[in-house]
Amino acid sequence: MRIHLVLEAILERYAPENAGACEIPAEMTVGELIRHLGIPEDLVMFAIVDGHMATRETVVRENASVSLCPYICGG
Amino acid sequence: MNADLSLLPDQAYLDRAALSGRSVQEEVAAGIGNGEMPARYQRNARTLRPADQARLARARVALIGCGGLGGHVLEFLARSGVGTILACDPDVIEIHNANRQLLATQGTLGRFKVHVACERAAEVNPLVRVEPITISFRDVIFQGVDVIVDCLGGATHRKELQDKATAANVPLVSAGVSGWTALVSTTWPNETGLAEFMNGRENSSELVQGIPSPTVGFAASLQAAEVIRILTGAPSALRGNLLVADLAEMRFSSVSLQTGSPYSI
Repeated sequence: MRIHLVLEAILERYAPENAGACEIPAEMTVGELIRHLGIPEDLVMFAIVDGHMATRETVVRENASVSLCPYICGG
Repeated sequence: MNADLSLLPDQAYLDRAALSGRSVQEEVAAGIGNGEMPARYQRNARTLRPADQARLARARVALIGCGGLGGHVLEFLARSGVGTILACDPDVIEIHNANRQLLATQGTLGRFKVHVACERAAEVNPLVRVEPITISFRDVIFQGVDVIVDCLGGATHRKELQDKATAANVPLVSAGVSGWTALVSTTWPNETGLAEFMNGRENSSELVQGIPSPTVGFAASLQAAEVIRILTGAPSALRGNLLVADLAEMRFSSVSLQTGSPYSI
């Protein structure tokens, strides 16, 4: 299934080709998506799915907009 | 600006305070109540009305961190007329601060950031006062402040600061920056805040990406806007919400922090 994927800041390096229309297996959870992309889990500070804060158990639906953000704490 | 207001120079308020024994900030607020206005605020016009400007003059803000975010926030608050700013930072200015920190100049290297903050604020606006605190915020009790501004670097002490803001029963305006990405959020006491998501982690992006100057100035600008609106009784747009900004793609979005538990893997 197709999703719109945004990888913030340093996570950009894990972006697949055509992240804006990214193909992933159906019914993946956010945690599974992170592993699918090869992102070390401890790099992810939060995930946003369709405009809402998600948990690792949140299921990603067809055409979902998913944003993954690393720890950003600089000042 | 109301045409009926009498515009006065800074010196008028300084002279009054010297004669009355009251603070300059009290004199400014009292003068506004009597139909006067410091001439320096005239271009705040209808965005900050006289009652707002008087509220700002009476306000006390705790600024935690006077580095990248804090130096810029200080500048905005001082120019806006926030009467008293408690500037808290135990660090001195080092050469690696120079890429983004407003207070870091050739002449300030090696000096306490909060002492430089005092001088900068005095130069910008003599009607405001900065109280320097050269110890960690962890050893400070915040009494009588209206807002705390979280301009810390790193995640280590963020939650502790959020807890202090809750203990003081005041809003906390926070930001975090890395590369071209900025996060900004406002936390009301006993509500979920950005610090809970940061979770004390030490593997954050900025350690690799660094922090370019425009990103820190942008985030600080949003923090200052939030502080000024809170102080003047306006709604806080970021209360319980997180703004995520990507300055590389000029992409901006916000999400509620209240809709789920912090995502921690």
